[in-house]
Amino acid sequence: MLHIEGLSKRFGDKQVLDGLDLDVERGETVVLVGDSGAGKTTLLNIISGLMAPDSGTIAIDGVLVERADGGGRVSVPPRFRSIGYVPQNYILFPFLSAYDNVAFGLKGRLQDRDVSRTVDSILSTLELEGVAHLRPGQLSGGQKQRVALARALAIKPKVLLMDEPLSSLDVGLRGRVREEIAGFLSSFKTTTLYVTHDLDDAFALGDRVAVLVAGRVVGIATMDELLNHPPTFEVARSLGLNCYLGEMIDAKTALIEGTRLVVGRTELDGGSDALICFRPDSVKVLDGESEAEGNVLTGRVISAYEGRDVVQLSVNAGMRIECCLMRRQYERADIGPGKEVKLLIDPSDIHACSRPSPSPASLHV
Amino acid sequence: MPSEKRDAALKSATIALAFFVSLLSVLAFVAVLSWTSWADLLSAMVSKRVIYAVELSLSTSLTSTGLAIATAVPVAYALSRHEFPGKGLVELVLTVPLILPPIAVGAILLVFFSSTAVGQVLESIFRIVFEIPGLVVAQYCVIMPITTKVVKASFDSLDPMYEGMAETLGCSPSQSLTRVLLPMSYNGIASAAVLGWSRAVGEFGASVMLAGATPLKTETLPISVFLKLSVADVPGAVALIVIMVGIAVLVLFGLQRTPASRYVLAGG
Repeated sequence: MLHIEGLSKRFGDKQVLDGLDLDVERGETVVLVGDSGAGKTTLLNIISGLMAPDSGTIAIDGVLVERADGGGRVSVPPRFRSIGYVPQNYILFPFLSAYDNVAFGLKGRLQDRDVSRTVDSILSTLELEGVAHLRPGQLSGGQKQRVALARALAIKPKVLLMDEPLSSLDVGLRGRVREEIAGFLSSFKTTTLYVTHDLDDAFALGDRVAVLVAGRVVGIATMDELLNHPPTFEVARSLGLNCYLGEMIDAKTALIEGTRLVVGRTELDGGSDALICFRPDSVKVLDGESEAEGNVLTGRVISAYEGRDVVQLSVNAGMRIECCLMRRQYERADIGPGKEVKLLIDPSDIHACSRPSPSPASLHV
Repeated sequence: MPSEKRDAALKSATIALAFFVSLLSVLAFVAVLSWTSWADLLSAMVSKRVIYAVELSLSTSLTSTGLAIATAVPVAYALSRHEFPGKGLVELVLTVPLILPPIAVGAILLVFFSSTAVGQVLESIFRIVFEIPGLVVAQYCVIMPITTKVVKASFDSLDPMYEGMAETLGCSPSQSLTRVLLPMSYNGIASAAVLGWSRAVGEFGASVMLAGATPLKTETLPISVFLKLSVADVPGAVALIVIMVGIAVLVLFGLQRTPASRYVLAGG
C-alpha cells in the first residue's frame, strides 16, 4: 500500500534521510522506531507531501505520488494523496469545535447530511460525542489526540500517518490512550505508519516494527523477531538490548572483551566473529551469596535509574550490562552505584549470530 | 541598603514616575481646555467646518485602512510563507516609510504625481494632488507598512503546519489561506486595522504635502487644527482636539473589550 524507495533528505550539513526504503502492506500497522532527531517527522512530512525530498520515490496504493530523481520530477499535492495525518502536537484548528475539526476534511467532498452522519459516527466510535461542541483549548490531552485521529480517519485515507501522538500526554495517561489507539487501529484496519521513539508504542501497536538509524530503515520485522534475532548491532541497540561484538570460542561459548558467556541460541561454529545479544529483562540480579547455574558474572554498579516500580542498573562486569530489577528487591538488597552485584544470565536467553556485513542492503531482515 | 529596601525603593520610584508622566499629559490637556469655555466648545463642535472635518477624517481614514488591509494581507502572506528573489529588498522598501518623517513621504508623493510620467497618468485619472483622493493616498502610504508588518507578524506566529494539515485534508493552498490562516489571524489583522486606522485618522504631514490644506475641501481633523491655530482660532482648535481625544478614548475603550487589544495595547 505504501512503498518508499531510496528516500533522501538533507538539511544543510545534516543528512536526515539517507536512501530510506520502507513498505507498509495494506491494513497493517508499522511502527517506525527511531531516536529524537532521527528524521521520523521529516519522513512523514515528505510522505504527506508537505516537504519535498532530495531524491527517492513514494507510491501509495500503486500510484506514484513523489519522484525526486531522474525521469522527471513528480510531486502530487497533499490533497490528492489520500493521507490522514496525526501530527505530534495534533495541530487542531483552535477556532473550530471538535465536531468542525473532524468535519473539516469532509466539507466539499460530501453533502452536508452525509458530513453530519460521518462525523457523528466517527465521534461515537472514538467516544467523543460529549465533547463535540468544545474547542481544542477546552479538551484534555487524550481528547485532543482522539479528535486529531478522528479528523484524519474521517476522510477515509488510504494511509494513516501518526507522529508520536502520545509524546505530549502525561505519563499516567499514555498507557490508557495507547490501548485506545490500538483498539481504534484494529477496528478501522487502516494502513498505518506510526513513528515513535517509545518502544512501548512499538510493542503495543505494531504489526511490524521498523528501526530507523542514520536515515535508513536498518531492520523491519515483528517485535518478537527483532528482540530475539536482532539483525544488526544498530537494531539491537535501538531496541535497548545488551549487544556486543565478540567471537565464538566453540559452538556454545562466546568471548566478549575477555568475558566468557555460554550461549544457548546460535548456529555459529567456534572461531567465527559474532554479534551477541540478550535482553535486559533476561539478566537476573542475585541476592547476597546465593549460588546459581549458568552465566554468573560479578560486577560493580555504574549507575541506577530509579523508576516507580523498576530500577534500571548499568553494571560493569568486564563489559557494560544493562539490567533491571524490581524496586523492592533493589531497596532490600542495598544495591547502588559502586556496590558489587552478581548477575545471572540464562544461556537460553543469549543469542549469537554472525556479524552483519556493513553493506546497508544486507541490514534488512 | 538592604536588598528588600532597595527593591521597595525601586518599586516606589518607578510607580511615581509612571504617575508623573501621566499627570503631565492630563495637565497639558486641562491647560488646553482652559483656553476655551464650554459654550464656545459646544458651538465649535457643531460648526459646519468641524463636522466636515470629522466626516472627511472618518471617510478617508476608513478607506485608506481598508485599502491598506486589502494589500497588507496578500503581501504579508507572500513575505511570511514564501521565499522568492528580492524578498529582502521588498521588506526593506516596505520598512523605509516607517522611518521616514510623514512630511517626506508626502513630498515624495507630490513629486511623483506631479513630475513623473506614471504619476501624471494616475493623476489624470484619479485627481490626487490637492484633492480628497490625495488624502487617501497619503494616509495609505503612511499606514501600509505598519499594517503589513503587523499582519506579517501575526502570520509568522502561526505554525505553517496548520495550513499543511488543511492541505492533507483536501484544501488547495488558497483554501488553506481562507479556511485556516485568515481565521486564525483574525486578531492580528484586526489589530493591524485598528493601528492603521488610528494612525490614518491623525495623519498630517504626508496629507498636507500631497492634498494641501484647503478649508472645507481637504480639511481633515489634524489639518483643521493646523488651519485654526494658523489664524489664532484657539477655541476652534481646542474643540477639534477634544474630539480627537474623545475618538482615541472611545477606540481604546472599545479595544479593551476585544481579543485584538492583546496585540494593540501591549504593542505586540
